[in-house]
Amino acid sequence: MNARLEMSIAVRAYSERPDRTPLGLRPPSAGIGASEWTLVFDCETTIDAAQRLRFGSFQVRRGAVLEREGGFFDLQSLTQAEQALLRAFTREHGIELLTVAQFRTDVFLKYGYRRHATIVGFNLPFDISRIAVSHGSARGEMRGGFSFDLTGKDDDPRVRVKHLSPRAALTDFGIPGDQATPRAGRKRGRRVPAYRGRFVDIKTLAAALLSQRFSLQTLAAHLGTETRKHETKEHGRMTKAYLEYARADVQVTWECYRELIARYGEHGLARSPDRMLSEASIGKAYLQQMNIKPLLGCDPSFPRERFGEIFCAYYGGRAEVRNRRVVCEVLYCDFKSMYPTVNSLMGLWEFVIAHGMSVEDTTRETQAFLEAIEFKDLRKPETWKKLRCLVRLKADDDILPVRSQYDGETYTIGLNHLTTSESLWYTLADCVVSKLLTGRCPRLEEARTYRPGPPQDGLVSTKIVGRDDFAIDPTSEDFFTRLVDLRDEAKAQSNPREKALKIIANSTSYGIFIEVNRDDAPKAEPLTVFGPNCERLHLHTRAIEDPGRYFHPLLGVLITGAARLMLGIAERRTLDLGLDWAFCDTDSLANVRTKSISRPEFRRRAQKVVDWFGPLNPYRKPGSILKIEDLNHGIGSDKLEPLYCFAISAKRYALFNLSKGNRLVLRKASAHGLGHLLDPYSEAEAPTEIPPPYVPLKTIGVRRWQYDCWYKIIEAALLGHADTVPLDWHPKLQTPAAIRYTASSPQLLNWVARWNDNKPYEKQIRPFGFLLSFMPRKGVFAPIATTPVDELRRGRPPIAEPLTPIAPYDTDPARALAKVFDQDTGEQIRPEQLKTYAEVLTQYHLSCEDKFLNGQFLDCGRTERRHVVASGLSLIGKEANRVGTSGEPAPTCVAVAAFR
Amino acid sequence: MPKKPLDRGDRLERHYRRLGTRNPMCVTCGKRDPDHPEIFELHHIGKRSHDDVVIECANCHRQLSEQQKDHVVHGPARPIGPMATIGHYLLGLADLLTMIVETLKAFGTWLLGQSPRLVTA
Repeated sequence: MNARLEMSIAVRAYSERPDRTPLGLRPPSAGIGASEWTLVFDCETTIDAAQRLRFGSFQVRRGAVLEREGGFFDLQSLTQAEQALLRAFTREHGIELLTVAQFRTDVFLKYGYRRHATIVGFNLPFDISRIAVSHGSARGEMRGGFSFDLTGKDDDPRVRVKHLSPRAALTDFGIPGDQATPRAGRKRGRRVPAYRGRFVDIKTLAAALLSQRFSLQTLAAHLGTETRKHETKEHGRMTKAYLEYARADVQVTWECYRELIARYGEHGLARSPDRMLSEASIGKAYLQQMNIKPLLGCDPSFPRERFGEIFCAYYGGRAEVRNRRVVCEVLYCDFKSMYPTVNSLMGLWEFVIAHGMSVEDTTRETQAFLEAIEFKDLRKPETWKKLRCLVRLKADDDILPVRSQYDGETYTIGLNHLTTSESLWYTLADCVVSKLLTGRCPRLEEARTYRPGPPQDGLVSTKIVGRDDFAIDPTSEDFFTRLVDLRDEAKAQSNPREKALKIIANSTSYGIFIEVNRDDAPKAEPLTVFGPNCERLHLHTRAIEDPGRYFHPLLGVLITGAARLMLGIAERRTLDLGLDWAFCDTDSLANVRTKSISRPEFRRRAQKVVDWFGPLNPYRKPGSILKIEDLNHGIGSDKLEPLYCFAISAKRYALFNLSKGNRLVLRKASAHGLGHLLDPYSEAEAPTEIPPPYVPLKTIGVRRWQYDCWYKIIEAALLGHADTVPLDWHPKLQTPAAIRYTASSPQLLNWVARWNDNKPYEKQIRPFGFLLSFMPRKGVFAPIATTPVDELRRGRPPIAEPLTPIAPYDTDPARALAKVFDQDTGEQIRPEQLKTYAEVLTQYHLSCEDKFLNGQFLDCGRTERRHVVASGLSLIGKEANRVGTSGEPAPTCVAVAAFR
Repeated sequence: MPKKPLDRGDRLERHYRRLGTRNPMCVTCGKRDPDHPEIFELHHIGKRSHDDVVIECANCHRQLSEQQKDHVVHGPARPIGPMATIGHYLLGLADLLTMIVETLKAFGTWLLGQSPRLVTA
């Protein structure tokens, strides 16, 4: 038995604003349809820190007909010669030339606001910020965002932009001082609804429809538009070619928009495309199309204490490393559409279309079920329907998901032995996992089985991507099963709509049910928090959380619980067959060949693990739901080839082949913990000593310098010195490591308040401009203090405030280094005070798996589960919230709110 | 500073926004003219005590508003409260339906007048 570790654990709590109606209870907003006008525009800026507007291009279209085309420019930022060139260019092409002030009133506001045109651009927030005359912090629904003044007149509307993610932002018009309702109407109590505008950022729409991140160039190539983005090296220098480039950009944007709208139109959804902010928006629009009302819409008074209990059982996907920092041969398997699959097996669609749900105390039956259940029972699909149950127990050395600050700082979840004195809620599936792994049956204090209410009235069939053969009837079919079946068929026929079906299946099967939106209030506001044991706390906090429209936490909790059970079964089966496993991640598991077995025997046994899941397949296409991934086969071959794994910690692993002569062929690697750093060097500058990747970097899942990093880590492990990885493969690794941010919120922009001080507005770094952040050297990396002896003072030395180095963005990193300053004091910071890439990477290959024993820096081999004895229970809010623009937690706010 | 006058395109959009549709139609006489939304108005079925509105052309609106004037109970004690609101609403709805019935009758009669005749011996 492992040593017991006393530590405080945490569970998620449900919270709601007492003064606000949850989104699920509000009717979807409606307004007049889009007008036939479209305004497309794009700005060209200086390449310095301010990224100030130089000139821009626009098109105004009525339907598809081009009604107006032209350019606009900032008088102050162009020289006389540049203005003359611009005039000559517009004259030559017979297009208009306006000042930016004329563009704002006579084009942007005229068409965008008064004519209700759809305003289209690529990365619209940046362009809107460039044409604004000033900005401030937005209020109301858009707080946390910016409000841009376009004319300086109160009668004209401001434009408000709130950043949501690197892919999406909410954009609308504020209410102008000029009243839309005439005085006579106002006296009679009439009100013309405020016009909020229609903004379509094609970067956002493309990401939602195609589930990919694009630049304008790659998007045009992907969509096959007639006009392609021109290449230019002239950024910053006004030439005829540069003007052609800028003009073509607007045409490309229009063509991409037209194509995306056509693709969106195929879905036949009633929701306007400007509301499509992510794949989840598409999923929600389909549910709306089928007339499905959210849980809270059906049952507004659903007891929120229940949500508190349900949320306590929420733990997300399971990601662990079992064989750490050792090279092992694996067979990498993943579950087919894990979340739609467990949805189908548990019949959760019944809940989605139900009018509310009821709960029943089934303590006795559930305890009997848990005691009686055997491994083989889990192979029967009917068993899974019985898992629509939450249980309350005092854990007594049971193996359960445990959320704690294992490293003393960050909450992570580990499947560990747990002993608690307080009762906690778990899914029944988690208790089954515990029984599978310990052989002992957890003692339940209470069990609650949830039953769906009767089907909602007025549900209607929908045609996926508008096709008759893709019709789904929500009342008679399981939406998730049908979607995966349709996708299988489409894939077999090489139908291009296969990708769209995959996006819809993924976007409707999980995330929308557990959606909670964090809203950081400027000052503490009242919030009611519901805990696991009917606690109701009335707090004042800045970390406000709002449930999403289709919020149905029971589904989110049951889905992830069942997914953990799938992995638990795979683990049990693997161990029973005398194999081991290297790591697992939400829906995948890598089986390890142990030394005592031959390769054919290993594959035979691994196949047995895969085959076990055959009877659980809910789809038409035969086969097991656990699949042997393609990367187990040779490149371009159907034959299995030995695949090796080197896993460091959860989500940090690489899979590779060893070709003849032990040449390392990387097949898949993780960018976890590296993705936020700017590339220290480009692909063209890659070191010659490291062989280039054999498979495309996109397939491996990393960028070139990350590939090099993994190559060196694995090479060191293969050469027998896994603890010491040379970090000298490129001279750029000795330069300070930089992270790029977008000044996407007033808080982030405040970082450069000192830089902006005393500068005219046009020279300031503005909203949605770029910033660079660096890491200060501290601890062993800190430069040695060179304080002269005579300056030493008596008494306790003052505690030095940590440096917070930032710099305005510059395309040349060397130039940026000369401008690094401390955001608090404004003092300049020298490059030697900053951590280099090599220093940041020093411990990457030793990353700890703190949640387990034998997971510290130099530990290698098998990790062991801890035995956690809960010494306290915290209630926390949404985890991994407010992720920064580069994928790292944003440093402007606490990532996880602790309510108790 | 005097406001810049709105051009026809801007005014059209303002009317659409006021009416909440780009395809306005009078619910009473069936007049439909998306190019001239200025001739349509919003009619409060239950006077100003209720928010339900319908789109009416200016002529039908004037007629309906005129009829609503007869719903007022004159005298020192004016009915108030929810029952009065519902009462006004029902009377307004009845006026509206009466006018729709008239339109339907006229249309039916017109259709009969336009139909080919089957002459029987």
